[in-house]
Amino acid sequence: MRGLEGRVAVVTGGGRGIGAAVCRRLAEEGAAVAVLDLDPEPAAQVARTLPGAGAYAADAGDRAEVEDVVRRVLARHGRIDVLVPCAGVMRGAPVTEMTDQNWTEVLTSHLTGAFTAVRAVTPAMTAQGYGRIVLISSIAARGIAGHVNYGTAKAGIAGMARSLALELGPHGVTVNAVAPGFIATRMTREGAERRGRTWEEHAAQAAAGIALRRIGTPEDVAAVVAFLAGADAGYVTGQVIHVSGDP
Amino acid sequence: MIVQEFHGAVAVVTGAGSGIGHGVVTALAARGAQVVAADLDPAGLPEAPGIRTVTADVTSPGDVRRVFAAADSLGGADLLVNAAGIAVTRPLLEHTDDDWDRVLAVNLKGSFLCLREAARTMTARRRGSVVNVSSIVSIIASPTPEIAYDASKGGVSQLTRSAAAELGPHGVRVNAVAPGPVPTALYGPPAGAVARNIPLGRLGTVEDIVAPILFLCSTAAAWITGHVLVVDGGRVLR
Repeated sequence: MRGLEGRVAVVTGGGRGIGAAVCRRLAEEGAAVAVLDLDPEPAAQVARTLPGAGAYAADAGDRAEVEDVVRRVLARHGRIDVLVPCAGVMRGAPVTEMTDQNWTEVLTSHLTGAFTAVRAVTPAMTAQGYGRIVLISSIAARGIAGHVNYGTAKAGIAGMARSLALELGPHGVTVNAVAPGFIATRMTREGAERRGRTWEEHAAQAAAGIALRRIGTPEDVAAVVAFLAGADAGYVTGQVIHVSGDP
Repeated sequence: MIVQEFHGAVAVVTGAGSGIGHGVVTALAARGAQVVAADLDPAGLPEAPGIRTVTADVTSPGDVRRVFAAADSLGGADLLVNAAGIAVTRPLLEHTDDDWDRVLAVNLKGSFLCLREAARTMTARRRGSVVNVSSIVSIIASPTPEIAYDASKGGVSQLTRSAAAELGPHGVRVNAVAPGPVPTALYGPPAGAVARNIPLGRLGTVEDIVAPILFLCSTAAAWITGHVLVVDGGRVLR
């Protein structure tokens, strides 16, 4: 399918994990993708394999850096149709042991990062009268022990999607989110290490608790992001789609 | 060019003679599926290569078996879209026992009967995708009085989640779409008045709903199950 031919997408956290899979999928469907990552090397690696893509080293939580990337993307392509802010970190700890830094890093990277990217691309999208913003929430928004910072940030993303859908809908911009479940990424591999388990044990235990009896892949999530970024989801806005293999 | 992403798949679609069901049949057939198109009223059933039409009442277990026998003759159902539905619009105090029974029978029992029949072959083959048609009135109160319809759609949404949990381990996905107001034979709203409540500023079309249904049927949604996907231009946010 080439449903995104002629479209320009900006993906933050695009160097790894779900972000990288989103870059590949959007490019497969024809989009020119701006791969934004704090770490220049993985972003360059992703962009190098994708026709029309460009790598941009920037801190997704820094307003000036993100706005500069948006200016450069607009100068190169003339438009921005799709935004997928994927950047974010996990810093789990029991609530009494969670430091201010743990709290701030997670809230800043996920929530402030998404907000900063949205604010930067919105003028271009509303001027075009067209835009597709796809945020990354998580099933952790329902509650996750030991990660009050992450659960709070991801629930915030759902509220952000709904509020922006109301505000930007009249300008032809849809805003939705996906809520991934347990996905094989560096983030979940680190979770296995913290628990002193092998990855295989950790993944098998997670799969047993999922209705479809397998853990997810970044590609599972990217396929749903591509749906929300495309014409088939033109009447879908303000929604959080659970991509978790489970009701 | 239309991608033949459902080439080789066998689909059963109920309520195929009009509205969303009709749109799903033609879209699936255009993308390569063989479709068993069922409706109580054969008049509107689409005729095209790849479409087998069956006159059937989804509230009749015998009729439902006949629909799936047609799918079995094509190799067995891989996809089921439960789009058959009726609505009665009148105040609660004027709803008759018969109104309640008919609406619940078609919308909720009909979805269950087709789901159960589909699940026989799908679980045996460890693959399959079911999409039910719910409604945003399973989430918000309807602005028009249609108590039986709203209750039936609430039932369809929960049927979706419970069936997903039970059939997931057998490789079968069950999802739903919950459309907002779409002008069809079921629903004829005053367009301007309703569109003002919709953030995207317009009523939905059959195509707006059909595309997400096909997405949920497809491998792009391989790790989505038990989800009720609201397709309403943002109406429920208001």
